[in-house]
Amino acid sequence: MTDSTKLIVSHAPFYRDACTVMKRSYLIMAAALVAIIPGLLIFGIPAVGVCALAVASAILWELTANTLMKQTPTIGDGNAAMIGLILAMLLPATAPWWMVITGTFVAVIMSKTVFGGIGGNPFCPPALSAAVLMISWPHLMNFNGMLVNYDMAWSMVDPLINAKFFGAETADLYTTTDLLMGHQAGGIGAVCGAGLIIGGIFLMVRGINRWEICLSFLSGIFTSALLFHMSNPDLYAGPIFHLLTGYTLVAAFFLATEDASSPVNTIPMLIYGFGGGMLTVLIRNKGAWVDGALFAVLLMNLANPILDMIRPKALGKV
Amino acid sequence: MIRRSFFGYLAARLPYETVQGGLPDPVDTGLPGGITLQIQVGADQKSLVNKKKTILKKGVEVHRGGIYGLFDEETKEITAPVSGTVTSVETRTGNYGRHFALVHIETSEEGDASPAFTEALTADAKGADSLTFLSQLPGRPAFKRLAEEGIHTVILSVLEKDLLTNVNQYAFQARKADFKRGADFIKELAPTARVVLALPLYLEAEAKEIGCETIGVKNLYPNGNPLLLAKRISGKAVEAGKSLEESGFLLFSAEAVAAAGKALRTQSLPQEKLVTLSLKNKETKLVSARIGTPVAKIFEAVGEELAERDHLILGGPLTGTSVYTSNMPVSADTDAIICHGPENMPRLTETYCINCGKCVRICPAHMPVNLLIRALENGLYEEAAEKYDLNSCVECGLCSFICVATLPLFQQIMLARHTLTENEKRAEKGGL
Ligand code: SF4
Ligand code: SF4
Repeated sequence: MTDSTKLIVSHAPFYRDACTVMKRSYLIMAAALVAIIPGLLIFGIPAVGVCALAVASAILWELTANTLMKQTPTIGDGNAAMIGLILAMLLPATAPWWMVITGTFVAVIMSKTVFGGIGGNPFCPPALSAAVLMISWPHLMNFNGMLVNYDMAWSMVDPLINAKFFGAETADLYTTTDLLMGHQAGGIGAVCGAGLIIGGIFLMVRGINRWEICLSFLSGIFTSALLFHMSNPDLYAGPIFHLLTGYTLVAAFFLATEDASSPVNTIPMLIYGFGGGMLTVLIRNKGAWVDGALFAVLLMNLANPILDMIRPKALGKV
Repeated sequence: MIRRSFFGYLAARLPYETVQGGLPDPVDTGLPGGITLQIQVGADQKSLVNKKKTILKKGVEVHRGGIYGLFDEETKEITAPVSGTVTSVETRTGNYGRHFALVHIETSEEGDASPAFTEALTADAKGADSLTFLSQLPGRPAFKRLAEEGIHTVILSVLEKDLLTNVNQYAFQARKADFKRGADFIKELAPTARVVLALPLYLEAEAKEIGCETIGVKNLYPNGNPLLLAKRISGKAVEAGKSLEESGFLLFSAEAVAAAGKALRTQSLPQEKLVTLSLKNKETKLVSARIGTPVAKIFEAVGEELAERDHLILGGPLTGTSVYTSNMPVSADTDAIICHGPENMPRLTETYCINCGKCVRICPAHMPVNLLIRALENGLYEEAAEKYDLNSCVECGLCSFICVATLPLFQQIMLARHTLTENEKRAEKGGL
C-alpha cells in the first residue's frame, strides 16, 4: 500500500482561520498605540522612555523566565510586549525607571509565568501590576504629584482627585472635548479618550475583544454613575465624566477584556462587565481610592471562574 | 486557508459548494485495472486477516455486483464493484488505531454481472436479501436498519457532509427521477416513519415533485451535519453520546437515494461513486469513479500529479482524513478528494489555549471547548465526558478551524471519544 511519493499526513481540519496569537497581540498593540501616541505628544520624551522601557523589560523578563525554566522562548507570540505596553498606558509619564521594571516583573513573572504562562493567569497582568505599584508607592502613582512639572494650557489636576475631594462641581472644569482630546492629567495611554474609543471599537469589530465585556463594562459605569449623580448631584459627578476620566476606558477595552481572566459565555460576560463597571464607580465614590477601575477589574477576575460556570446547556444534555 | 472577513465579531460563514447554473458533466474514470475494498475490522479480526484466515483470499474469483463475506459466508459485507480475482488481503491501521482490511481485486474486463441482486429483487424487493445489497450502494444507505424496528424519522439529505463537495446537490438535480423512485421506496419500507427531505434553500422550489415533507436549510456549514439536522427537524436534540440510529433517526444522502432508485429501475447495482476533486491549481472537478478505484487512477484521468510533501485528503477540509499514499481507494462514502501543496498546510503551534473564547462562540453544540481542552490535554477523558460535555460534540471540526492558538482541538476530541468507546467495549467484554 505504499509508494515512493512521500505525502504529508496530519489531522483534520485542513483549513484554518488565519488569526494567530501573534497577530492578535500585534493588533491589540496597534489599537493601544492609537491611544498612546497622543499621550506621547502631550507628555513628550519621558513618556516615550517609559513605554520603550516597559515593552523592552517585559520581553526580557519573559525571556529570562524561559531560559531559567529551560522552555522554548515564548516571546514570539507578542504577549509579553503587549503586557508591557498596556502597563505603560497606566503609568505616569515621569515614572522612575526602577518602578517600570518592577512593574513589568510583577506583570510578566508574578501574574503570568508563575501561573503557567499564557492563558493560565487568573488576573489581568497589567492591572494586577499597576495595582501593586499603586499600593506600594502611592505617591509615585499619584498623577497630581507626578505631573506637577507639566505646565499645560489646561488643568493638570487629576480630575478624579478634584471630583472626589472638592465636590462634583469641579467636574465642570473639564469639558468633554478636553477629556476626549487628552487634555487632562493621567496615565500615558489613559488620557486620550478619543484614541481609546477608536482603538476599542477596532478591537471589538475585529472580534479580538469580546464586545459584550467592553459594552457592559461601560454601561455599568454609566448606570451606576448616573444613579449616584441623581441621588446627590453636588457630591457625585455625572456619568460622562466617569466614562472619560481615570482608567475607565483603558479598563473597558484593554484590561477587563484580557483573555484568560475573563469569561467566555454570554451571560457571564455581561455580569462580569457590568459588575466591573459598577464596582469602579462604587470605589471611586465611596472607597478610599481615587480610581477604582484596577481593583474592580481584579475583583471581577476573582469572580470569573465562578461566573463562567453559568453556561448554556450543551447539545443533547438533559 | 480561508481568509476571514475584516469583521471578526461575526461568526465565520462557511458556505458549501453549490450546483447552480447548469449541471457539470462528471468525468468518468472508467474501469480501473485493479481496485481495493476497505472495511473496518476489530483488533481480533486483524490477526485473522494477517494469518490469512479469510474466505476472500488470494485466487478467489468475484463477480460484479456479487456480495461476499470476509470471514464467513453468512455475514455479507462486501459487494464487488468489478469482476475479477482477489490478489491479496492485507490490513492497515488508520486514525486513532482503527484497523482496516484491504481486499485487492484485479480485473481486466467488465465481465458478467452476478445475477444475485436481480434474483433477490424478483423474490422480494423489500426482503432482507435485497436490502443487504442496497445497503452497499454509494453513500452507504442504511436500508437494512430501516427495515428493523424503532426508526421514527428518515432524513433524505441534499446537504453535504463537508465543504468542497457538491455530490448530493448534483445527484438530486441530475437524477431526479431516480431520486423520486428511491424516496418512494423508502416510504414504502417504513410506512410509519416521518420522511423529511432536507435541502438547501435555493433548491426548495425543485422539491415539489418528490412529494415529501421538506425543510429548507441555509447552505452554510455545518447545517448539513446529521445530528444538527435531526435537531432542526424534530425540535429536540439527540441525547448526548447516542448515535442518530440509536435515537430512531436515519439519514440517507441524496446520492444514495438516487442510487437506490437506479438500482430498482435497472435491476442492477450501480457501483459508481460521485466524488468532487479539488486539485492543486484550485480547480474543482466532479468525477464518477468505480468504488475501490485508487486515487492515483483518478488523478491520472484528470491529469493531476502528486509531488513529495503534498497533502492528499479523502473527505472534506474540515472532517476528512489525510492519507499517506495515492493508492488509497475511493470508498462508498468518499464525497471529496482534496489535494494541495505544502504551502497550504496549516501549522500547529505549541502554545496553550489563551482562552479567547472563539471556539465556544462557534461550537454548534454549545460546548465549553476552552475548558474541555484543558482536561483533554492532561488525558482526563472521563472527567471531560462528565463535566465538559465531551459527548455532545457533533464532530464538525469548527473549533479547530477557528482556534487562535492553532491547537489540535478536533484531534484531541476525536481521540478522546475513540478511547472512551474502546474502553467501554473492553469493559463490556471483560464483564461477560
Ligand atoms: S468539533 Fe468542536 S466545534 Fe464541532 S461540535 Fe465538537 S467541540 Fe463543537
Ligand atoms: S479558540 Fe483555541 S485559544 Fe481560543 S479559547 Fe478556544 S481553545 Fe482556547
